[in-house]
Amino acid sequence: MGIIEQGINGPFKGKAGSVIGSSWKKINYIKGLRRDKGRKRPPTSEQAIQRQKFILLNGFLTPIKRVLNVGFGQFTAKATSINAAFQYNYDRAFLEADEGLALDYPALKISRGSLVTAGAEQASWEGNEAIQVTWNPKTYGMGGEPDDVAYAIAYAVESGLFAANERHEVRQQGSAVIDFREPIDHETVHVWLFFIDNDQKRASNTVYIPLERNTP
Amino acid sequence: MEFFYDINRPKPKEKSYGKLAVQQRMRLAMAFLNPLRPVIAESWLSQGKGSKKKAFGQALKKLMEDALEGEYPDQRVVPERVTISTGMLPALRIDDVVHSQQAIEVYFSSVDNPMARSNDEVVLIVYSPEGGVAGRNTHSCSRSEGYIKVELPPQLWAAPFHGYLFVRNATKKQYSKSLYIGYFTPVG
Repeated sequence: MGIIEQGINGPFKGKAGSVIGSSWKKINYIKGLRRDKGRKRPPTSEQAIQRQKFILLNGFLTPIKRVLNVGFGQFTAKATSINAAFQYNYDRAFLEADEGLALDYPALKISRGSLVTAGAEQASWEGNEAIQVTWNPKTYGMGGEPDDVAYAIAYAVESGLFAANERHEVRQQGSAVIDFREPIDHETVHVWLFFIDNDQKRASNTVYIPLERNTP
Repeated sequence: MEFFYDINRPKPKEKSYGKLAVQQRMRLAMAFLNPLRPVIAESWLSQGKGSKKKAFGQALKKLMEDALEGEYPDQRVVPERVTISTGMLPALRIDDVVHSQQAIEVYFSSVDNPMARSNDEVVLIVYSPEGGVAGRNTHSCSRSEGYIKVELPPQLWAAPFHGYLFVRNATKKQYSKSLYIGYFTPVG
């Protein structure tokens, strides 16, 4: 049974007839019971595009939830980190080509914040399983500290594999290694880098690092 | 009909022109000053009565009063009029500025003034509001040296940036008003 704690105008929790009251992250919700809509009509072309966008972006963001918890951690007061990342990327990270809708990987952001990026970011293959990422280790007195932790993420498109640096190197080290632990040959691989301060409170924006295909 | 409405929540209505203009001014000012927060927290501290938050608020207020131009929706920040620091200390006179690809050097001289001490520390700030990247001199430089150099962050090697210079005393409690050095485009 639903309980209206602050009178008729207040939020309530539980089921009251055909409506359900609940709250999440201090947001009060009233939801209707699920209705059976009968046979589904095929989506309009606009609906199909929206659904395709949701599938593509959610498919990319869901496996890196733990990274997003760090990169979008500042925006989780009233949303999950995936919600925040989804909201930010939804208007920015799609390419509409003749072949259809695709993710614009260089435009994707997996973190946002006021910490400065390192600059001079580069990535190169180390054998056919690992990628070495380098950046400028210097700090310039503002917006970044030598002990900021680096998060380097790589994504192999064809095999759908994600990998990240596991040692959590700091800014002053200037390099990190991303190990896929299996050969990645002739694949398109995208690399992103961002920093988070030692207190895990402030993040930098994401920098996309172009990487040549690995052709052994 | 809305059955479950919150009496405390005001009904959404279209915002007035003035409100939108003020909101845009606030957004522009905040976006410009936010990357400089660590410097402003110190250089405006006396105006903030010891509170870093109030200090930033005072700098924000000053920017909104002096350094914004245009009418909504085409308002913009005028970097030449932005005050990065404020105070009573006498400022420097800029003699020459040399901009190379990876560094900027400023030659300056000091006017004779009883408040000017030779050991006052000179601070040079380089800042690109578009990239949100800022840097400053990492070595100490005094008023009597007449020369200061800042190594540019790699993000500014190929991007335009603004330069600001100010002086603070040895105890970092008194500051001069900041000087705008100029707008520098990439070399080469």
